[in-house]
Amino acid sequence: MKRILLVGAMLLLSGASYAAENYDFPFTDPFKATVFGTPAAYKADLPKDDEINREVLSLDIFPEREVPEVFWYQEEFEYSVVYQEKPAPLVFSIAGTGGKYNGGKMKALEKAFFKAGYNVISITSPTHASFIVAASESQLPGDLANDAEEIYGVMQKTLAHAKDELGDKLQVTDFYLTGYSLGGAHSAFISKLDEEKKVFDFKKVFLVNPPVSLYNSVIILDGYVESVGTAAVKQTIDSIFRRLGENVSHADRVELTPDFIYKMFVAAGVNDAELAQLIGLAFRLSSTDMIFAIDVMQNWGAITYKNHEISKHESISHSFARGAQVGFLTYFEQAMVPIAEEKDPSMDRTQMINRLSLTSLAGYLMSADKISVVTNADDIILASPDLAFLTKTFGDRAKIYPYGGHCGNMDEKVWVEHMLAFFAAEK
Amino acid sequence: MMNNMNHIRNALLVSVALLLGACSATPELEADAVEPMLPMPAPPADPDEKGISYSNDPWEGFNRRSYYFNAKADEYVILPIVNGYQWITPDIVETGVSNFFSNLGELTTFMNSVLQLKGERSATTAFRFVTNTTIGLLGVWDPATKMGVYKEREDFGQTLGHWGVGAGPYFVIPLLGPSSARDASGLLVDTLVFNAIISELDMKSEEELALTLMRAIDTRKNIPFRYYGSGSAFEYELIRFLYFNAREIAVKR
Repeated sequence: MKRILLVGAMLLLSGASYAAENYDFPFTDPFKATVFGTPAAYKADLPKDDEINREVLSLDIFPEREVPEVFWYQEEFEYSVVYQEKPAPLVFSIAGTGGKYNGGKMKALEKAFFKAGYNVISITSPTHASFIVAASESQLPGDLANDAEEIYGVMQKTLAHAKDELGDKLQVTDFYLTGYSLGGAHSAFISKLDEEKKVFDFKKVFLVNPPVSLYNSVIILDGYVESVGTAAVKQTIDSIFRRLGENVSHADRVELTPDFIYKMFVAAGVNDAELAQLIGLAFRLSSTDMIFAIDVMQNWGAITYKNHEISKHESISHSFARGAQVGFLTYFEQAMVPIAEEKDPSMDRTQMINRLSLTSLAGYLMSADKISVVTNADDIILASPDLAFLTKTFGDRAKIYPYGGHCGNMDEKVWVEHMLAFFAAEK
Repeated sequence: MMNNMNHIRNALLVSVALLLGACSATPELEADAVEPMLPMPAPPADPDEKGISYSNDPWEGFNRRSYYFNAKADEYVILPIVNGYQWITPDIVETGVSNFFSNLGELTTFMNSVLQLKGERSATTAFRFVTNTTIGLLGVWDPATKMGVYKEREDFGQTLGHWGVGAGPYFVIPLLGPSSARDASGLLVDTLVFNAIISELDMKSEEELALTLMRAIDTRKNIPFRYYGSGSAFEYELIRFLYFNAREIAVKR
């Protein structure tokens, strides 16, 4: 039986343009890949933190906006810029759901691009509280086309601001664009918008593990929590901590490194069902943060008191407890759909789901030679028809690794080489 | 003399209790404020159960103010000093300084390993201290690790935990950060013992002060945590949750 499956898999693999040459990634299990990422030994050789020119800048995008006291630390919009101190192309990089400009994946991208001679501006996801509070006009993230317009505006403002701040250190020749996960989907919409507006006239656009249908992906990720319930997730987390504790107490040497933590997870026998719940929990934490920020900014009163100014020393644990019960899907059904219908009565739920999807850009994506996509055959956020859509739409501009989960392989050697080669190629 | 000490102690205890209890974390609601639409989930049946939103935190009002105060102290005083120190000090010297204080810290680990009757850990810690203090030139180098004898950490909070004392309420110590009632008392004991040992070295008081300051700077340097760095509105809750879990693991080891 195993052999038949193997032969079947090989036949399947030989049909598509699979990029397996020298690709060396240890986890063939997508949940492990997603949670643990690339172990140190398999990582591309990237510069250290202090070996790149990087500045964190902040910009007051809405000087007239009064930021609620509970968000006193988000008054300005923070972003990072990596600069070459000579004329060089610039890559705009967009974070994934709930991701900040300085997350691990964003920093790894910065280093790879710096080493290859690019400037970089890293932008926090529109789904992160920082963007909602300090950079968003609508303060209703999730509608990809609208998000793209807002990011496009923020890109122009941060670039002008960074040039002001850095002077000659930042000299830009051409523009490139990339984003991972939700930031990948955003990048596709931004590229389309840029075809009309031509502010940047991107040379190349690189989509990393994008969701094809945001709705499908959210159903999958939220499903990891919904299928068992929040009480069961809590028990799972407690149990994982307990088992980790037992194994740490028997370890020869305790080190706070990713590889050590992975070893402890293996020793504790954390299984795929539990890893899935961890992924679901991480997604739930992001969406709770997002819903809280929107709720505060819009005075909706969903998980906060309506008409109440939260003081900076006030407990908001109750809002967390309320918000963690629901996910992004509830936000979609209870907020995004009704608001969209109110704005445009001809819009219904199905159309809304289609709008939040790369399929709505299929014609553009098929013809846009400058865009390429990279993903993994086992990416957990892709529902069954999604991978086929990507290979069909992008053809040989789609690079699909056999495994790597969702964004787990982003700093593997061959992966990084491929990304840089795509940006460097003439075509 | 004894009487005076008792008076001072009582006065201290009363003021700490007042301080902790005085600040409230419950919302002061406006007249037209409306209860959130989503209901509050029922609290866990077991009152000892800890989660992200539900934890042993009766001093939350004080703790949140302390958390905020620490962020500001970090931003305006502590981190600039740490950065200045890192800027003027060559990396190799920084490592030497860290090793030096880490070696002094073995005294605390040794004492607490003994108090927990952990024979092997007491022996390896003593071996590390003797080796690093002699061959390692007062601990500036760490030859013991190269010999495969790894550093362990034990503090009095862990010792209390080892003998069955629960963590108690969450407690954000001003300037020092997240802790618990148990671990804060433990820290006090460790510090008193450490200072008693240091005073045996017969240093001048300004030398002792310099040593204490250097130790504080080195400690902060080695902690990558930044207040409000996650950007999450629920960072306070997440850190509280992680603190209790991490300490539970530390006690078990």
